[in-house]
Amino acid sequence: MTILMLLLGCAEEVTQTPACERYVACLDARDELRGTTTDMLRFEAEGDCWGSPAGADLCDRACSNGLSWLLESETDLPEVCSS
Amino acid sequence: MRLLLPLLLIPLAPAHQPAEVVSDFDVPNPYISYAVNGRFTTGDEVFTLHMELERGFALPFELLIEKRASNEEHRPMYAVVGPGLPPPTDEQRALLPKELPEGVGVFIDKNDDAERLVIFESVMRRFYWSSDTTALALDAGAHEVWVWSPEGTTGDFVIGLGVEEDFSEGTGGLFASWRTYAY
Repeated sequence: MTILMLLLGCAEEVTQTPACERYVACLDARDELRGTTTDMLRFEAEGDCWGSPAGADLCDRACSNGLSWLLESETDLPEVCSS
Repeated sequence: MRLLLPLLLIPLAPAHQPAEVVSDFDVPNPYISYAVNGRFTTGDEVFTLHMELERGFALPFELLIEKRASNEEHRPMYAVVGPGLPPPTDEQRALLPKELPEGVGVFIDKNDDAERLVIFESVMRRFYWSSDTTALALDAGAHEVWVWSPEGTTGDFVIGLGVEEDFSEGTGGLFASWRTYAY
């Protein structure tokens, strides 16, 4: 029970995940190529995604799946998207 | 303790602002998150969410089905339809429940993974099967989300948009329908 209390009680610090770092870099480069602007603030290092472990997990999956789908569906993505 | 540890490993879903779709639903503010609840009663409904984006926006989507035996075969699909999305392949077009308007593209989540992700949703306090979340980089303009049941199954669904918890715009009247979706 002590371990459980410790697990629940510890405030876990969450930071931008590698998947979201890659997704943001890809969208940035894609925007530059297309001449568009995409608001992706929530996924950036200071974004709202990193306020809680639950939100961070959701964002991490969103970025990972979002990048996979971009790579499957768009053929003219910047190189940074596949690196 | 042995029972509690597996529970700690199940992903938790952050709370979205709850709302309800009967056939159509206008998303009032696509820049905050929503959990839009609906119910297939005949199995041939096509639920439509409408969103107007003033700027390009990376928006996560997720379809949730309550995890219980009677929903094992209930696997609705959803599509996001709008400008800047890629045109569908012939195979994808055949999946759609209605004709795609001219000049728009589509993202389709078939929600057919053999292994279904399970999450615990903290507002309805239920376990759900998730189609898994996908962020879509949407262009400015009018978008729709279509939810349909390809096998004609009936039952409830939740379509989740966004991430952040924000109840500043109220609870969308959903709690008046609490008995419909929670019990």
